[in-house]
Amino acid sequence: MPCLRPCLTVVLLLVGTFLHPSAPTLAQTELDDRMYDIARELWCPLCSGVRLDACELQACVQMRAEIRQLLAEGRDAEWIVAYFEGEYGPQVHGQPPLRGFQSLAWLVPAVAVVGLGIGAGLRTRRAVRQRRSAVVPRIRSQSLPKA
Amino acid sequence: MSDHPSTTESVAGPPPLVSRSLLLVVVAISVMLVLLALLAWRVLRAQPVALAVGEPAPPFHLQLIEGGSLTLADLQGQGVVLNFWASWCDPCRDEAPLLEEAWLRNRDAGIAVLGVAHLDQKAAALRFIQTFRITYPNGRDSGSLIARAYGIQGVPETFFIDPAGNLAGAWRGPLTAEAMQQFLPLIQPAP
Repeated sequence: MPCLRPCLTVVLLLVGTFLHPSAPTLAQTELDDRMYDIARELWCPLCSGVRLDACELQACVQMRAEIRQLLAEGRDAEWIVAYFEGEYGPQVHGQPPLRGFQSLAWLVPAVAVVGLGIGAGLRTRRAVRQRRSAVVPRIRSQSLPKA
Repeated sequence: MSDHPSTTESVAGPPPLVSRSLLLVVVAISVMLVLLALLAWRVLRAQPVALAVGEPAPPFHLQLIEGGSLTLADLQGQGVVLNFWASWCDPCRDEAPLLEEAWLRNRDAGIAVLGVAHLDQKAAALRFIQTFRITYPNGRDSGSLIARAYGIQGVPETFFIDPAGNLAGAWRGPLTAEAMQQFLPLIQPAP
């Protein structure tokens, strides 16, 4: 049969693709993507200023594998981040928590922005008032008939 | 031109000594400085303190990998070799046989060797223990609390604690046979 050979080739190729041990499945790729998403939120506890997803140290390779394993077990990102903070210390957290004393790291800039906003608003209002008070007498003096 | 002052000039009173906006800026800056000072104080307080020889070793509570837990108080009266290690640390592999040998030789003489897995996973730590046939107690340092209390800078690091609970010595980097010979007599309990 003339079409037997191409059909057989296609079938063999498909079987080969599925049986190939190094071919990542869609689920594995998705798991890796989720793992890297979480690792991007965390910091290497040994380096200074290196995120966990980018760190080449063996310690971080093992930590990423641990994230992957926890995801495979059904843990969500929030749980894993909290687990890492508990296991490896607060230095793995990419941002200070919004609780306790460390919430100051969030509050200080917020207070600064609000304070500067209020200051700028008051200054603008005063400038507008001064301008008005300066303009009104000039208009009055211009509108007066000359003696 | 008139010699009399204008209406607006006569209504305006003397200027205030400190304008309201300036006062607000000063208050805002003061609040910011206070908050920053508090933050700096907290950060500085969190920095590990350098331990001094002869001073009491920081107490710890170690969850053992094999199960159970151990505190420094539990080892009162014994010399303690407290070793920080990790499965991902190559020099830790070099010193593991030396620590095991020291434990086997000295445990009956009142010296305890204790391993603290730093920034490590339980499964990986267990594999390390099995690979090197380590029989002395090992635990994981959850939250790096013990590492911070002892101010370690990396692994491996080893602390020698005398039977009274005072620090007799510290060794940064992989242990050597010479270092063991130097420090073990210092933590030997009196017969």
